Amino acid sequence: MARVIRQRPMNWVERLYIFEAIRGLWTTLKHAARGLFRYEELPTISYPEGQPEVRSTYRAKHRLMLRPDGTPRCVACGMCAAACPAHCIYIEATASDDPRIEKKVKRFDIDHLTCVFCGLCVEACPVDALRMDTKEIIFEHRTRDEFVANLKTLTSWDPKDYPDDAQSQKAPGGKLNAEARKVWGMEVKN
Amino acid sequence: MLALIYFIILAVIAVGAACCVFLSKHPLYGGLSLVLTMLSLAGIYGLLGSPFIGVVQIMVYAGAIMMLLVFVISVLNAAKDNRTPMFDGTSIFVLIGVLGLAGLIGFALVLTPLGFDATTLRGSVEMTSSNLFDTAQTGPGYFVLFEVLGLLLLSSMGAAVLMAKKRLGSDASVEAASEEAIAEEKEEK
Amino acid sequence: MDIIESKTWVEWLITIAKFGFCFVPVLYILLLIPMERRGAGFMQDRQGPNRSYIKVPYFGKVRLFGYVQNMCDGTKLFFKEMFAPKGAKKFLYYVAPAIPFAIVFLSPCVIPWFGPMVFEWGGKVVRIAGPIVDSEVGILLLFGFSSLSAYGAVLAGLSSRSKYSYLGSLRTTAMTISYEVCQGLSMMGLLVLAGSFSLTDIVSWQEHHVWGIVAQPVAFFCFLIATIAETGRAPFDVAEGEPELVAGYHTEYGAMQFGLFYMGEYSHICISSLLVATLFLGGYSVPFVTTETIQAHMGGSLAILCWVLAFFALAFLHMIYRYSRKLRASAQSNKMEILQEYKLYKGIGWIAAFVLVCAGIASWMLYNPQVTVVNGVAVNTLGAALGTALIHLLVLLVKSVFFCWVWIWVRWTLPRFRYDHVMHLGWKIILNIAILNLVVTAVVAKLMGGN
Repeated sequence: MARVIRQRPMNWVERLYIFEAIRGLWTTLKHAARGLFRYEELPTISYPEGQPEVRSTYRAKHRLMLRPDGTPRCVACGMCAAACPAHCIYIEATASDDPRIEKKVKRFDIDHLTCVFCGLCVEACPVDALRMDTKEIIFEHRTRDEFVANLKTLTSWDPKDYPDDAQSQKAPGGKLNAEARKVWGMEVKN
Repeated sequence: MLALIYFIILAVIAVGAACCVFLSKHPLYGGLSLVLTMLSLAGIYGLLGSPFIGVVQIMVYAGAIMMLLVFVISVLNAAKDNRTPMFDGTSIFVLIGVLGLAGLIGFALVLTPLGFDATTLRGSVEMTSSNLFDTAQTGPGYFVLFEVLGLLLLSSMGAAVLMAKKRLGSDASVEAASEEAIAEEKEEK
Repeated sequence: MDIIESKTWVEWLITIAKFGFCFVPVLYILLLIPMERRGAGFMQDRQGPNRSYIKVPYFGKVRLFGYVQNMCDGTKLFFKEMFAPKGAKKFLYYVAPAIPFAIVFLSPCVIPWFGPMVFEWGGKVVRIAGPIVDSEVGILLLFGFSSLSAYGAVLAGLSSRSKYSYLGSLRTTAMTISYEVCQGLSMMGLLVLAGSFSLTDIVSWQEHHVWGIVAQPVAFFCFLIATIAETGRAPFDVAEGEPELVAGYHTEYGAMQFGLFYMGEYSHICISSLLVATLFLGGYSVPFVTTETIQAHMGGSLAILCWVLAFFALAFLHMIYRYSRKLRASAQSNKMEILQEYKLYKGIGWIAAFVLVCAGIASWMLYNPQVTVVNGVAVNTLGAALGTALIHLLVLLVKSVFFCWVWIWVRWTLPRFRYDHVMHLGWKIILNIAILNLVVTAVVAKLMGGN
């Protein structure tokens, strides 16, 4: 059903136009004065030199989370590839060394030229292996192939970039492994 | 001396442009030449010590009327007019008539002493207005004439509006409106 | 040749130097384009173009607050290829852009830039008028020129053989002609009061009575609206409305031909703002102070002028310091470059403030020229006359820059009118108000026993 919006008819002062025009002029004058006298308060960021502040919830470039031993958390279930509306994820699986886990990922490609950054893959992942919190919003490469993120690029992130995330801190390996296991609540048998 | 040099320059431009008016093939160029003639005539008026007349010449004739004329020429389809021959049988008589008139005027000009001195004002604002409106000095003749002219222009304006009303919404209405503008402007002067 | 011999060399020098005022509209373009762009940016909470820079060796980049952008644009337009579309009337096509631009150089001749200079030199009393041509029909001359400048638009539209250009030129012509009538009629009330067509007389009338905006407020608004419409700027820029006609009459133009149209438009704004300032804001006259007072206290007046300028320099410094403090705290990667540039501005600002304050004090203490009265006319020394002229000129420029800002301000605030609305406004509203205003003014002036 169409919704009818009743607009208030203009009164005679508004229909004269001149007073409304003066009101509009006053508004723009305020903005112009702010720009001139408080130039530093303008919301514009001079872009390549000044970067915008990106929140961790922003759906940026993907990364693959790692187990404490450094292997990807991904179990190659293919849920993300199934959820992807743009069909940009390609997964190949092999048998896992870990007896408790059935498969491990052999190849994991995300084509960022096709990706629509909807975040459905992150939602679909059952083991929280895929995240989009890298805050990387610039994609610039020379060839089309470089836009395809593979297993290596997806896992080569630095724990220092995620100081608030405990799970990112514990990986990969090193002397913090014991604590990491506690965080995960799991014991990995070597 | 200086004024004479200026006069010769302006006169050459005026006469040359006037020749261009009837020698040009496209009526648009003719109209533009007429504008040039009027501008140089305005300069000659200024040299004769009547800047007011010169300025009114620029404003009314060159600025408004010729603008409309150029406008109308551009609206008309002028491409067909190119093929009409420039001279035919009747143009001999026209040429003789024009030459005769030019000779008469030249004769009159040679006999009349004309001093090109910008310092002696002949047609300033004050002199023009006192000639037209000072009934004590010059009698009611010009004053009445001026008012009658104003009335005539007003009535012609009304007629133009009435005629334009029939085709309201077309371009003609805008042009009629512009013609009113000139009529009004004239009246104001 | 007797004219030449009758004048002293100082008189000749000043008379010739006055021709420099012909270039004022062209210089205004340099001011107006950045003002327009950055002003528009500020109104829309943007920064406006500020990225182009000149690289100075051993110093760094100099951006001049975005002024360099003009030079880049001008250079680009200047070096582009000139071309004419197929089927265009070549001669008219190339002549058309020059017409409005040429008239720009003629129009400043009649504007009084300063009050009449009366000074003594070589035992003679010399009098130099404010405008370049002190004509008694000054304002009519100005109107005549501005009506001629519409030929540029007409010829451009006709000669470029394009429907868009043609429609644009039709609209421009109709609008120019109709709003010229409004302009002329709304101005008439003031002319009735002042009793003269000469701009010098109008300004001196305003100096001795009241400003035109007080005497004729209705006429002021009508005149302002009609003048904005006549320059063909938003909200009246139907002639180049992008949604309907690509760019109006200069659709087919590129390179410097387009640049000439562009500069002609901005110069027209300059002339119009000067005209509004002259007619309704007292022209060169300083508010609340008569010229005689200024001339009697020449040193003090110059001192006040210097101190006002010094205040502006200090305000500029304050803004620069505040902004650089903020910038230093930010994470911008090029902040050292910008701060380096700001060091230059800070240096110039401090030097200017110091010099201006010192000059003010010096003129206050040391400069006190004598005024003699010859035949009831105050006669100054050459320096005092030049100082008065300088103050007058600056006052006029400030007023006209304010009106230029009004042009820009209106453009970036109000949406474009529809074409029939523009005509309706011109012919049915403003014209009638102007005629009514004229009649009322004439009657009141007659009853009050004026002119």
